[in-house]
Amino acid sequence: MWLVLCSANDYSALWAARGLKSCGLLPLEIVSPESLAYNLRFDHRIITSETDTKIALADGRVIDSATVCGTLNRLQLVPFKHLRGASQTDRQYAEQEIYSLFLSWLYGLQGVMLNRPTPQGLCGAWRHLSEWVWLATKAGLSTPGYKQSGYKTGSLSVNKSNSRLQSLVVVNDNCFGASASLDVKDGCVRLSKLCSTPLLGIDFQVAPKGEWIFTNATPMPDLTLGGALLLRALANGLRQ
Amino acid sequence: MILLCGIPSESPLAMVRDALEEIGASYLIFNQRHFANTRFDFEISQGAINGSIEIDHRVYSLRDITGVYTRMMDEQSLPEIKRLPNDARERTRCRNLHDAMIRWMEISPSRIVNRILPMSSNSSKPYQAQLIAKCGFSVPETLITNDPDSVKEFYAQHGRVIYKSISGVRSIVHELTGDDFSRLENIRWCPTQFQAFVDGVNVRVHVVGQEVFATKILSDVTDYRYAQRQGGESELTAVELDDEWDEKCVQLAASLDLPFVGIDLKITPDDEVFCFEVNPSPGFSYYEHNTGQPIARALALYLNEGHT
Repeated sequence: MWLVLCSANDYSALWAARGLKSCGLLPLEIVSPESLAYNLRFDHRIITSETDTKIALADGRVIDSATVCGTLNRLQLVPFKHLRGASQTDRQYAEQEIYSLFLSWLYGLQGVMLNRPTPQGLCGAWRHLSEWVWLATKAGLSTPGYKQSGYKTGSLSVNKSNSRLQSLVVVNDNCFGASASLDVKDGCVRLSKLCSTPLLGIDFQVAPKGEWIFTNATPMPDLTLGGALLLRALANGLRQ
Repeated sequence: MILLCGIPSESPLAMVRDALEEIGASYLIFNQRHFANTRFDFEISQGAINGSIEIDHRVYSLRDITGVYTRMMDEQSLPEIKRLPNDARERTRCRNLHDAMIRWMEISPSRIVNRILPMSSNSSKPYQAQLIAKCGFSVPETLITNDPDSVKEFYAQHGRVIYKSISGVRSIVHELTGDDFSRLENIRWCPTQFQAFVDGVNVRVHVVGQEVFATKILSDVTDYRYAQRQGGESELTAVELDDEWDEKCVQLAASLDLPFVGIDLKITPDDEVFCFEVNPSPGFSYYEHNTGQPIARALALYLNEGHT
């Protein structure tokens, strides 16, 4: 079984789920964060270095980790509406406990996962802009200056006049999206490796003279930007 | 130059400052309570990170800061801040200052003990347990569930079971007893972590770079950290681990990208080594005071090596 974990309004993941099915990834289950959070039963076991998890969902489906071949993971947040009746202290405690459980479950889930969770984000690390800029610099991408102080929050010095926005998506060492030079695409792949995020979206400002300047990155890119080629790479990645 | 960040009277920070004095290293203290007298800025430009810190009207280049030991408390809980309105200018200024310093530490090439990002593996104990197991340590059989029947089965299987928090929220470890079964239905609202009880001797290992300090703890309560509160006692003794386990502890700290950690081990009568947790900001003073192990000195030397 393959899983696509995404919210009902993540049109990009829903588009990918349809495409992955047509690429032959069957059976494929789309599971929302709500159905995971409002489960009937969640059993997560760690035995030596292996994990074994069974989640009984309210709609009758059971997510058994032993049967999962691969996962497109687009979980950002865990819904906590069911804790509304608790006191503020108990609610905050329970929220942290449940989030920590999701992190452990996703990290240990069998099969390929794009992306594995980190403590900085369930679908991959959400990094501070300063960190992205530094990593992009190390990856060899053109980056704008970044400044931060005790008086001012961090900001980029990008000249936005007459420039246009472009985004690229990396899937397992392949870069998709707008037509960019090989240098830019190689830099994106290096960035994806540096930040251990195999599915990565990267935003640029393209100057009138054609220079691609890094502005941000995300572990939850718009997959539709890559079209059919991206879908094929995604399917191949999740089959391995 | 070593930068120490936090409250200077706090034991671990004070002990590292004394150790830096002893070895003759130059250092600078950022006292969080004096945030109003501190300025900080940094920039990333042309492939380099530059900036400055000004404390009490003296300015230091960040390029000269070769090591940082940070024990910063939540700045919003500082006595100077916590009673201020949410939109008070001082509160915003204090938050911005701390944020700028933390962001610089995350990317600085200096020796940082420890960076925030790698420290967060401790925010989920079962997640961290999976990282620990990859380094060759045994981890206790664990069940996290919201189903009371699963807990009953787990208890029947293991006989002795403990429970504790899943997240980084520090909790007292308790043994599951008959009284607890009457409130087991409560876990339907919040999954809870249960572990097979492991019999053996508690050992706290502090790793500083490549150096290892192991302390054996004999205690008559389930969670020795709270021995006094639970009416018990703890006795701490410095011990030597086998070279193999010394090495594994160093590897574990390195794999988590944490130069300074406190590793909680339990060694069973069969010499199996279980690891329960890696503390990324260990309050080592309790162990050093009880055993005389020179942990602060090792940390001072590690920080000072950053300038070479």
